[in-house]
Amino acid sequence: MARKPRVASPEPGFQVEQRAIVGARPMCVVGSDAPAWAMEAATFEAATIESFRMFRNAIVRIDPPESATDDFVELFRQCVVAGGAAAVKVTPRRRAAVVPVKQSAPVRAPSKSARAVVTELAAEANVDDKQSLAAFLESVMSQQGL
Amino acid sequence: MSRIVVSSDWHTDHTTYGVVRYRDVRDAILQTVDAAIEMRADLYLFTGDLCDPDDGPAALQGAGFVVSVATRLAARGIPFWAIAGNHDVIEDGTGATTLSILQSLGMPEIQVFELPCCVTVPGRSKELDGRPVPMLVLPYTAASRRYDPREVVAEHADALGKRAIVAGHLTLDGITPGEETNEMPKGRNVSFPVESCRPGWLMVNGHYHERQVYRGVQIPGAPARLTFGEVFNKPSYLVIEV
Repeated sequence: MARKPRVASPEPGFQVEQRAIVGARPMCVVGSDAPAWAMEAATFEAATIESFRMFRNAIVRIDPPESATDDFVELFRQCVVAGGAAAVKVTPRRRAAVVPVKQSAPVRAPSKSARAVVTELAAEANVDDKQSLAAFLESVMSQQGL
Repeated sequence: MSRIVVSSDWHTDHTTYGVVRYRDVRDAILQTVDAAIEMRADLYLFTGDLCDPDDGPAALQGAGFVVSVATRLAARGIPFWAIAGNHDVIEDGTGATTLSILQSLGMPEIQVFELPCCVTVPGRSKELDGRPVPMLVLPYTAASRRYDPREVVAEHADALGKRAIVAGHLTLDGITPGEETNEMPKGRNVSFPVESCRPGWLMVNGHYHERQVYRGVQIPGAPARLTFGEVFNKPSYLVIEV
């Protein structure tokens, strides 16, 4: 493709033309607000694998959001590598609060039992293994007679 | 007419997240060399930062590359001039730089500027009735050879006349710092003497990796994106005609 040089006359008598380096290696940042993070893992892998070709030859930094699971981040990384990236760096992410703040237990919840509150929060918790969490909470509640 | 190809900040020793960038830079610079040969440039000007001297093998590779570039251009009758940058200096009291090896070639077409000086650009300028264009060179120097750029400009101002080029590898006061300052800092701040330069002089300066014009100073930028702060940079080089 023909270049379109930018020509400027900075001072009388001088001409300065900027010429682009052709084929410079791209560097990409996948931010924590990238739309891909909102996709389901199953559809993500099948439907978008081709789009990862955009990372061909690039050096890529992945900044996952705090809500992304380890498995999903690894899946994303593998897709970027499969897309032909020269190098991929996944930055450590801030862990989300295990119990989301806005859904934390209200101070006054007269209509719910302690067991119901704990069960609801466990269901909403940001953990990868909710079954283990539920089992652990169940054992604690049993010990306490709830 | 004088036609000058300008490139800067090669950083042949740089590594980005484990990716050695030498080949990227090499391929980019070879484009500029091919362009210089094709257009029959009167001068190829490199405005500093070949590589750091600290990593022996990488520095040797960078030195070998700049020798190959300079000799290839010289063989085609195109002078290669290199201005020392802050990453090039070796702070051992000798004033040597990673570019010093070029001097050992003993070729008049190849010049290294490790101290400020006034020279004339090869070729003839229509603007100056066929006379060559004077150029004041302001390299970054080792601490043992520091100088005041404003004093140097004042000293040569009359010799430079109405039309001249002032080329260096210094810092620009007030510029938004890029990754050359944030992620790849080295050395002290030595200000480019913008206020001391006269209207009608073309100012060119390396050091900054993003192609831009700041306070009238032409900045070629680096030939490759080297850090993630440079994701949006457009690697390029300049062709100056006078």
